[in-house]
Amino acid sequence: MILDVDDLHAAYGRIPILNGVSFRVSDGETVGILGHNGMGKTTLLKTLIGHLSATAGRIRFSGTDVSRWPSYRRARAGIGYVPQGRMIFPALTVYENLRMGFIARGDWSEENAVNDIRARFPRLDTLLDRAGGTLSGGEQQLLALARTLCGHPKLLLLDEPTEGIQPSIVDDIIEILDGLHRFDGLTIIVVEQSLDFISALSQRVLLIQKGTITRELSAEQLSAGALADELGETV
Amino acid sequence: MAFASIVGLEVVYAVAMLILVSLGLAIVFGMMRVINLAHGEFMVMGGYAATLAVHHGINFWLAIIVVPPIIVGAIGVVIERTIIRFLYGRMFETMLATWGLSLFLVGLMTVIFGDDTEGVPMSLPGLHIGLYQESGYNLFVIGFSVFLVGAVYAFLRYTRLGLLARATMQNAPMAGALGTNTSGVYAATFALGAALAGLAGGIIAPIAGVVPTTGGSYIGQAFITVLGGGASALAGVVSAAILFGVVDQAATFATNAVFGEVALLLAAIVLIRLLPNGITGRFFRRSL
Repeated sequence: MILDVDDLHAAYGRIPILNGVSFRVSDGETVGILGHNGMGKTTLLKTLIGHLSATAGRIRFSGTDVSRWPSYRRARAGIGYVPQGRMIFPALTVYENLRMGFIARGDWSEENAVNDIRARFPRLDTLLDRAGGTLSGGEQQLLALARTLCGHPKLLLLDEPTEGIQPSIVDDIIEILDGLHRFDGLTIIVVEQSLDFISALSQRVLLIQKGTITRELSAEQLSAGALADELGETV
Repeated sequence: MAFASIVGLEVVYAVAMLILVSLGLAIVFGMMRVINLAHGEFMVMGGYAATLAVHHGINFWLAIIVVPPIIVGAIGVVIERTIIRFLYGRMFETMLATWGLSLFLVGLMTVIFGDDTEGVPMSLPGLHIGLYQESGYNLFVIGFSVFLVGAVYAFLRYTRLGLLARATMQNAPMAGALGTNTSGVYAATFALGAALAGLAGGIIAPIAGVVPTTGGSYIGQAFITVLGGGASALAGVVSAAILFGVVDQAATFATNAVFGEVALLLAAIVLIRLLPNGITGRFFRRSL
């Protein structure tokens, strides 16, 4: 079990957003989270990475309670986060953005980590000297993903990675994530509005409504095409 | 020809002094957006650190170049941890707090050192050009300022800590989510700014002497230069210092030092009127 979320509550000021979210994710699993706007999907990821403090509940990552840890400690422990809107450092070059993602771990040097990622993201390799802020939306999304992967996370949190992205880059992202999942055993939690994207990647899907997980769909249900029917009823 | 050379050196010296005085503030205000009204007192502390070091028998060059940034950088860490870190993003409160800090430091230094001017003796041979002579120490100040700009540029551009500092100042939450201890980076960056202010104070001490109340005379020049330079901390300070230094010295040679100061202020007003975001708001936008 890489992630165990138990009765998690979070709020913006006095406005509660998460009202007791509980779920578990196994090593190497890919889990999708679906829900209407304002139901708490992004807030859930922000709480998992530590951008928002949990007001109650517990987050255990690889068996350790990280609920009170600042975000940098969670990242160093192996939680990678690709936020909605990408949050590229606009004045840094693409290469510097990638270097920012490096987290010293094991024998990997910064140079090795960045070179490995450059090989996985050939589209970025020709843009290394460009300022991050000058890239297209799709290129920025690739960069945001590549930057996080430079830190070799064990768990990847992805917030709406296809939002406003051209289809060819969405295909690239699916291919890269599928490869990381299949061959590197990366665990992924992805928040998405695109059913095609989430179906292509996820082994199971959690439906979130009003800050709680209301339903779970298994891999079998997903492959049977029941996701769209289920969503039609609940989301 | 000799006169023109001397005038040229004096202009370059004025530019170098503006860079020296402003570089620490360029980091603290230009990068971190912290309005540090105690910047001048940081310089004065650097001056006192140099003075005390020389009086205790430490080599002159170590006393003015090494001791002040270490002492004032360490004080900067303490001030950042105890005062500044609670005020990031709160401009008005930061101004009030650093203004109070400025008054406190002036009072503290007056109690400790008195209000007599302390000097740092130095002797460097001058440079003879025709019938004229340029102070050897002025030439050192020019050379050292060039070195310092290069060193700060190299630090910010090529070191891991420089990268972390630039990224953290652009988007601290994202830097944190990538594993950067942003609180530590803020403390280190503030300490760098304080150390540069202390270094400037140490370098200037042999020329101007040190007295607790002299900080006020530096802070105006520093803020005008940093604001005139705009968003890019380093390129902004260098470009604004060149503009204001040339205007100041040209007016000084044409009239006197008082009109030189007036011309500098007028140039700053015109610049801000024409380029509200400073020089690097229009030019050299991608520079550091």
